[in-house]
Amino acid sequence: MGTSCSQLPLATGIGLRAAHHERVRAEQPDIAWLEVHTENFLGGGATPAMLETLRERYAISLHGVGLSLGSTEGLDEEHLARIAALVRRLDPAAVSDHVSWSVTAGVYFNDLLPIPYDEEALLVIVRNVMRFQEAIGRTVMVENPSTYLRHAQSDRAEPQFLAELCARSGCGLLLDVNNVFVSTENHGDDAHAYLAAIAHLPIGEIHLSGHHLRQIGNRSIRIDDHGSPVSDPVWTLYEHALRVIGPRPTLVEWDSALPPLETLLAEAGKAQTRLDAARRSVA
Amino acid sequence: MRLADLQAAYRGYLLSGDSAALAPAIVADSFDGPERLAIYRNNFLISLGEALKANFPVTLQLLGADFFGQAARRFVLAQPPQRPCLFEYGAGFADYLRDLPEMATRPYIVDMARFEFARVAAYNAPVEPAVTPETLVGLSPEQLEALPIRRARHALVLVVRAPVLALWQAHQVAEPDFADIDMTPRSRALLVCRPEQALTYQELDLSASAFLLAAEHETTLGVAAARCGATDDATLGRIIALALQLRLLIQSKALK
Repeated sequence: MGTSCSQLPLATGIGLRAAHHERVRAEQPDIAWLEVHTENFLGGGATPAMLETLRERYAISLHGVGLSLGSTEGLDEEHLARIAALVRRLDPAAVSDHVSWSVTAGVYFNDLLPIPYDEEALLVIVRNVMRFQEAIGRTVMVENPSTYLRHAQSDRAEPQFLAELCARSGCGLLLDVNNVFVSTENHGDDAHAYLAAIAHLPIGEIHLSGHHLRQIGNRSIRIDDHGSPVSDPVWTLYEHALRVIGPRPTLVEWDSALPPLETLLAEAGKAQTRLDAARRSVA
Repeated sequence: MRLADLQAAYRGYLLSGDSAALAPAIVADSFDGPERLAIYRNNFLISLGEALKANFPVTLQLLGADFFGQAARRFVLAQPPQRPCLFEYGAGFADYLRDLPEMATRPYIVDMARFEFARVAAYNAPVEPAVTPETLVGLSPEQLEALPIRRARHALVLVVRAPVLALWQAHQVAEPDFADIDMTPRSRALLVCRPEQALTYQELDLSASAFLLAAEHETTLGVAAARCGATDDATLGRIIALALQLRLLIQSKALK
């Protein structure tokens, strides 16, 4: 892959959620890697210990949702120290977080709030990503968000913002194909043009997940909910992404209305079929 | 708008629902600014409501989904999280419920919320090297007396009046049966702890609870023993044995 931001195997993984912990630990399903939300494993005791056990069987990706890389007030150093300790303990194959913010003035909003795409926000997130990388001693990936609005002050497109972020901070990109579909549909943009614009970036991982279409009167908007199967248009866009950027480790995420483990593994199987085809075409 | 001002405007909007200051910063097209912003506020409230449901599952059953949902929404707006680890969220939820007029006739639900948050806190507490029988072997009586200790962070003691252990246990099946539970209020000291990988709970007698409450902050074994009011060696021995078995004590510093 030529990226230092990911040591994940070139195969599909699943997002591991609490309801599946016991079964995955007991049955060790045939899947190449697991991704967890970092913040769920920053306590002591049984939860990180379980991950340490799974680490012997699976490559692990730590995917953060709470570092708030876009916060103008900088990173929470105590939170960062806990993440750094977990990274040291697990030596994960990848570490990532989001191009978003969630913390200001002592309140954590538990949502991936959007940042404007302008120079000031770029300087803020570059500074925070570099601090993140310095604290854990490795290159991280940042994920493109699903967005439902655009800021009037944005002066560049999201792909350009991501490219500048990667170039200035040295980080990699975690490309969420569902998010590309949701955001481009919501803003009337061209998903293929989006992918063409970020294809040259160090992309170390791809995410796939479900979303839903919310009707508001006679208008509709796509909401990223990680609560349903990957939609057909997103599968098609994923196939296109594999052609444009090449095969990448791919994760199927499911967070709300979590299905049985078998369903999640079947979705990962669908991604693996497409990834295998992409690998054959490259070879 | 400067990013700091924009994020402050988001904060104000998310906590109040008033988008007047923020909406002009949002591009309006087929949806106007307030409509687009409402998606984020909805996500914020729903996701934190779900976090509270995860941390307080039996409280949720006792309150019912509608009441819990309304209470959770108001709590989220009144006391939003301050940290990104949601297993730490909800420390004030029991007190918040206590102050609702609807809880006056159902105080056992407030006790349940206290118990459930103690479970979450104990489960996620850091691992610390506990005092073991080996720690104590070879110490003279004077050294035992002076041993600096504090209670391990996985060991929580809470005082409730409702039979929350029985109630909680009854709710671990699909159709809870409370017929045999004596709901008569009386003071109960409960130990919630995670000695190894799993949680364990038990009701403590007065001596044991006094000992463990005395050890909440750094003290000495002698002081904690004196506070527990044990009048015989057998009682103190039983408390120490419990503490060793469940890894309840940490040696807070080296013996002088």
